[in-house]
Order: sequence, then C-alpha cells, then structure tokens
Amino acid sequence: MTLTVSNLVAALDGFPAYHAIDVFADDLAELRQPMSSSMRPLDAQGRGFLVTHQDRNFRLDIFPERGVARLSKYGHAAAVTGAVTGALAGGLVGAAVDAAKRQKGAGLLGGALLGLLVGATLGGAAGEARRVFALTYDPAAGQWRAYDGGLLRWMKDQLAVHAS
Amino acid sequence: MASSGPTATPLLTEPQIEVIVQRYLREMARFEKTASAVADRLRRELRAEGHLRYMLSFRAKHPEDLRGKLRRKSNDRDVRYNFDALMEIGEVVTDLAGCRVVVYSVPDEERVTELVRRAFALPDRGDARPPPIRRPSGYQATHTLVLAPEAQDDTSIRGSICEVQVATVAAHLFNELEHDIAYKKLGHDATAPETRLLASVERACKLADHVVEQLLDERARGRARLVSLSDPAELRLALEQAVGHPLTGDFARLFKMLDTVVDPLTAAALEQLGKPNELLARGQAEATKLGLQADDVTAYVLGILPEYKAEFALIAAHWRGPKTALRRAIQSGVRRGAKIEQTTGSNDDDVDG
Repeated sequence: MTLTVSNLVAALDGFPAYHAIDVFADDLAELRQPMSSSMRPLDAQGRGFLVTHQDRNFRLDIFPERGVARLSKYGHAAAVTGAVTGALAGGLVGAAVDAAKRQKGAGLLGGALLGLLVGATLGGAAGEARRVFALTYDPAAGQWRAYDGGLLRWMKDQLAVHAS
Repeated sequence: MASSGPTATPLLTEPQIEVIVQRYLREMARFEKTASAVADRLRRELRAEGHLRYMLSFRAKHPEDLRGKLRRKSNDRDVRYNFDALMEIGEVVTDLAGCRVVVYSVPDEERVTELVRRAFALPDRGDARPPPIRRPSGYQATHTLVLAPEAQDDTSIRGSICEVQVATVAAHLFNELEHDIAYKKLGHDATAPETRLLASVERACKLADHVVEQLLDERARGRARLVSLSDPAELRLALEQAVGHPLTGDFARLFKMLDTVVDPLTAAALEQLGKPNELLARGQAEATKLGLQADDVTAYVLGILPEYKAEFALIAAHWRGPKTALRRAIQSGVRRGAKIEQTTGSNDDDVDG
C-alpha cells in the first residue's frame, strides 16, 4: 500500500494552515515507479520537481540522505530546467527510497503510512518550535487521521526536514 | 597566629630561612609531581561532571615565593613556622603543591569544592576542610587540603599534601591583585590611591560574581525551556510553573494532542502558543458560553482551539471510549466556531480534513 501525490494534496487542502507535507520517500507511489513526465525537474541537482495535479502546481523535494519526500504548495510560474538528466534524478530518488527503507527498518511501522504536515514556526523565528500535524493515512477509509501513536516522536524526528 | 607586633624579633634568622629553602629545592620535584597528579585526577572528575566550566592550573611553589612567605610569617612571629617544625616542611607549609580551579560563579565554587572533598582522601588534620574564606581584605576562595592520589607504580608522593583552591573568575582577579599589592607588598607599600582603587576592584568583582550568578541562572532556565517535554508530568509542571498554581485535568490526553501539533514540544513552545493564564481564561469563558463545566486541561484546549480547530476535531473524532468532557468541549467548540463563521460569512477549512 502506498500514498500518491493526490493523497498528499488532499492533506494540504484539508489543512490550509500548513504549507508542506513530509512523507517517507518509499511510501510515495510516484517515486517507486519510473519517473513520470508529470514530474519536471526544477533544479540541476535533481532534488526538486514541479508536480502538476489537477492544474495546480506543487513542488516535490527529495531528501536522499533522510529518505524523505516533501510536497509543498508552489505558486510560482514553472521555471523548469532541462539540465538534469533522467538518470541523475532517478539516482537521487532511488537513494531516497533506499534511505527511507533503512530509516524505517524491517516492519517497524507495520505498513503504516505516515505524513507530517509542516507549518510556520510558532514564534516566527528560525530555530523555534513550529506548527506540525502528525498524520497517518487510512487506506480503507481513504482518509488521513491524526497520529499520536508510540512512534510519534520518532516520526517527527525522521520526517521533519528543516528546509526552507 | 601572630604572637606580637611587627617590631618584635623575627622568629627565623636569614640563615635558617636559607636552610629551609635549600631543603625545599631538593624536594621540589616531589611537590611538582604531587600537584600534577592531583590536577590530573581533578580534571577527570570535573570532566565527568560534564556541565561545569572551569580553568585548572597547578604548580609547585616557587622557592623565592617560599622565602617571602617564611619571612612574612617569621616577622609576624607565627609560632607554627618555627625552625624545628619546618624540617618537615610539607606539614607546615601546606601550599607547596597547589592546584587552582577557577569557575564562573559562587555556586560553582561550592559544587567544585564538594567534588574535591568527595573525590580525594583528605589528611587527618583540623585545617583540611575549612569553610569558604571571605577575608576582610576581600580575599575570597575555598581551600581544601588533599592527599596525593594513590598510584600503583609510584609511591614517591604517597602522603604528600596538595592545597586545592577554588575561586570564581572575578574573585581570582581581585585575589591576585590583592596578593601582589597588599599581601606580598611587591615593590612598595600600597599608596592611598592604590588602596582606594583596589577597594573599587573588590566591589566590582563582588558585583560581577552576583551578576554572573544571575546570568547563569537565567541561562539554565532558558536551556530548560528548550528541552523537549518528555511526558505528561513534565507538561503539567511546565504549565503549572507558567500559571503559578496547580492545574487539573487529563494531562496524558493534552500531552498527546500537543505533541501531535507542535515540534518540538517544549516549555518555550507552550509560551509561543499563548500565555497560559490568558488561554485558560479564554477557555473558561468559552466553556461558559457552551454551558460546559471545564477543568483546566479542557479550558486550555478551548483556549487554543481557534488556532487548532481542524486538528483537534480530527484528533477527537477518533478517540476510543466514552465521550469525555474534553471531547464534548472540542466538538461543541468546533460547531460553535463553524456557526459563527457561517453567520459572519468567513470561509474556513473543513474540520474533517
């Protein structure tokens, strides 16, 4: 069972106070299959992609070292670069998927699909606590639920990517 | 221990002082080794404490400093410093081997002294562990006489005494100046302006000690505010400290709720959510409007509910078990908020996510 970009967009739409959602890279279907033409590189390193979903633009960032993928609201006009090769982008995505598997370990999550909505810092300054919302996706109900299980702290540590 | 005025005959003659200094010179290596061994052990102990900041130095007394000390004591007719007793010089002059620990604050001076007295064997003598020294001259430190640590491969320093001085960095500044100007009388007797200025330095150093202590207390409080609250009891304590009185309610539930929506959950983060007293008052007012009896946790949740409506509604929707007052309060609060928004025409998010 995996998540799709559509599921991530639903979470962002459901909770407008948050600008991004972080998930484990190996949980995202779009990263587990050959890179689709709907993902267009935004940088030469192959870490950021423009993703269009129902005529709306989103940015998908890959963090290969942490095994995390972040989908963010992306209001800018698409400035797509053609410099990155498919092999480079595919390599980073593959590294992110592998890192995610390592982070999670064998059976640690029991197949749970986790997502962390990321909002602004509470005090407005860098380094301060920030607004997040820990979620788990219920595939049977097709809905996100709040996650307050025993792995909450671990999940926040693993998924919270401090990127601008 | 002086027995008469400065005009009395000195206790020691210059040839006697020379004999004692020469004798010390022959033994000096042992005192250096003693001081070094005590410093090594002390450094390990201080490192093990982890949080203490310090500067550590050690030395064997310089022979000329010993000569000066013998002359002063002799002139003061300090009867402990008689020639026969000084044949066992280490028993009389207890600072021939010395270690000094300079710390930031007076509480650290106490902590390090406690550590020294715990970590080392002390000689069986009445002056081994005196109280902190606060002389009228302004000198301020805590001294302890310790025995050289036992080493299996070296018995040469066994039983040797080392004086460990602990002082704050501000006191150390004054102590050094006072030692050079007033105690040793280096060069010339202190003039009146020098004495006045030295007194000013003393006051400045005492003020520095006081302010540094306040600063370090504030730093400790600041650090504590940034450490993640690890369980409901810590959350309760942080909120109770913020409001200044005990609080009631289901803190296990509140801890899970806040941990789900704040990263990291710290005392500082709680302050950024809003002043707890104001949030509690706002929540109690909201509970009254909803016709609910609210404990403190329920009132707090109602206080921050306007910011976290969608999240708390989703969290409470999946709570198992009977419908608690907290769950009713969240659901009533969210419904009331939605009605207000409908009547005012505001367009907010879907609470079901």
